[in-house]
Amino acid sequence: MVKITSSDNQEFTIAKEIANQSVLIKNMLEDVGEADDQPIPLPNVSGAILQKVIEYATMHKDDPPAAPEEETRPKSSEDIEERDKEFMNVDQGTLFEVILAANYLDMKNLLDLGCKTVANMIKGKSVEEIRKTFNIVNDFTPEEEEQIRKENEWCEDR
Amino acid sequence: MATTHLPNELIESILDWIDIQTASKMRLVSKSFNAIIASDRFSRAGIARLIPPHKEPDVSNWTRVFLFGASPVSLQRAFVSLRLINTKSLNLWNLDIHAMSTAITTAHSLTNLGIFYGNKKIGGGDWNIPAEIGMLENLEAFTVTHSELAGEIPPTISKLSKLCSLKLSVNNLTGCIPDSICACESLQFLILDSNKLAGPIPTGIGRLRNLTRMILSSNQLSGDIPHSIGFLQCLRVLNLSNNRFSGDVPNSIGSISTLKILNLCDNELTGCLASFIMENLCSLTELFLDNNKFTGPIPDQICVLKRLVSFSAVSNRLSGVVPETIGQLENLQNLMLARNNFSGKFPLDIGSIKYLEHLEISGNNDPLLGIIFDEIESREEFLLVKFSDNSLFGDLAEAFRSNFLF
Repeated sequence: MVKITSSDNQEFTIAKEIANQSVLIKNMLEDVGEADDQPIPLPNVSGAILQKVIEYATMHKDDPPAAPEEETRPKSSEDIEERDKEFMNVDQGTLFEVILAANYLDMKNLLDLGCKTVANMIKGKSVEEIRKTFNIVNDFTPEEEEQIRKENEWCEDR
Repeated sequence: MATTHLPNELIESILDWIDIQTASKMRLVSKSFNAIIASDRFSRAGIARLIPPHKEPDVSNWTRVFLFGASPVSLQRAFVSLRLINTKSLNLWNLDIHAMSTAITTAHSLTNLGIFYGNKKIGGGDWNIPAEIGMLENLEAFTVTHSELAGEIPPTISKLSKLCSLKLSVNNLTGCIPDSICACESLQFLILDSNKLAGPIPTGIGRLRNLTRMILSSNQLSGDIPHSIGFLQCLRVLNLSNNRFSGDVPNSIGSISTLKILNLCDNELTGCLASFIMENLCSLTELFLDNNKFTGPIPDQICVLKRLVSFSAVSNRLSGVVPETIGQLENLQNLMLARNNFSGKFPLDIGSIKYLEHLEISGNNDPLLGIIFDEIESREEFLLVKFSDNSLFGDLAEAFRSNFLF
């Protein structure tokens, strides 16, 4: 078993095979060795989010490793398992926090899942809606905006 | 409204999953988004450098390029004339396959070249692998699948000393597997299934000592399986099914301790199973020998294949009594021995094989019965049993009519 603590000092005890899905934790465990019983501090992840991440890792603990030849497949954001869709059915703040945590913990599958989920959110949206999603203010001048619109015409030929 | 800001690197990861049209639209979101999408790092389909398209794109920084059939035609056309000098990874999906010729003659840095579902929409006749493929000396993975690739595999392939993966499935390749392929000693995957390749497996195949998967199924390959195949001591999957291989299976196959899947179905192979079923095959989980001309009994030593999950030898000329030792294969789920010449009692203690789900012994000589029925009777998960075309003992047939398919 492995102990980890969140930024708000919640302690979690998890099985090693679950902990090892995080490359960060895996490396830390290798560094400290088996003997050390000290909890691993994860100061960038809150307890609530860590709970969520552990839930994901537990759900996927028996997944076979990805076959290397699969890597050349084109990426499709539609390619999400049903259980993962359900897992990602959270408010947007949580979704972003999970993505940040996956990035920090170096969990590629979870990071991909988060990014795909956001990508799917964006797809049908207008530019203004996308700005809202990312909490971004339009900083273009009307002239600059017009220029980009012109440049974009080329890819609308289909 | 989100309170969390994602750093640019994560925005890039998200953009990686977005189609070109949406990505272009996203340039309008803000200056920083526009900068990311137009940056060198965001090179998916080269969108960054093809904006605006009427300028000659500077492709010198493209290291990783994906191009899809859904890409705008203007982009596809522009691509054909590009010189991808620094591109390391190039994947073309659902595009005109002739586009690759240009890529090959200029993209000398390529480590990964993949063409999937190539077509001939833009025009041109049959498309072959050009001999110039040998110039891509950094190539590690070369894949062309479902692309109507014709002609032969050029011997110049031998110059690809770093090639780890050669995958040319589902095309129209003809000719032989060139001997020179045996010089690609880094090869781990050799996957040439579903083509029209003929002739033998080159005898030098044993030089490919890093090979883990060799899939040559559904071709017109013939001759003996070379003895040197036994030198492939990392091999995990060997699939030679649906070809015209003949002769005995070399006993050297029995020495490959890493082998998990061995599929020799649909050939003209002869000889006894005892010649290659050996102790070293202890990793084997799937053994498929259907539709060949194997003779003799199933050897007692079948029990050394401790991890065997599926064993199928339907439509052969196997004979004798099915050995009791089969009962020791405790992971066995599928046992298919239909249409052979087995005789005598079927001695195995099937009830003791915990996972057995599918047993097929129809089309054999004499009553192959003698199974411990008490145990079977309690097995609800024992779904598919075919005893048909054997002469059954009447009362046993009656006893199991409710549980099994006869």
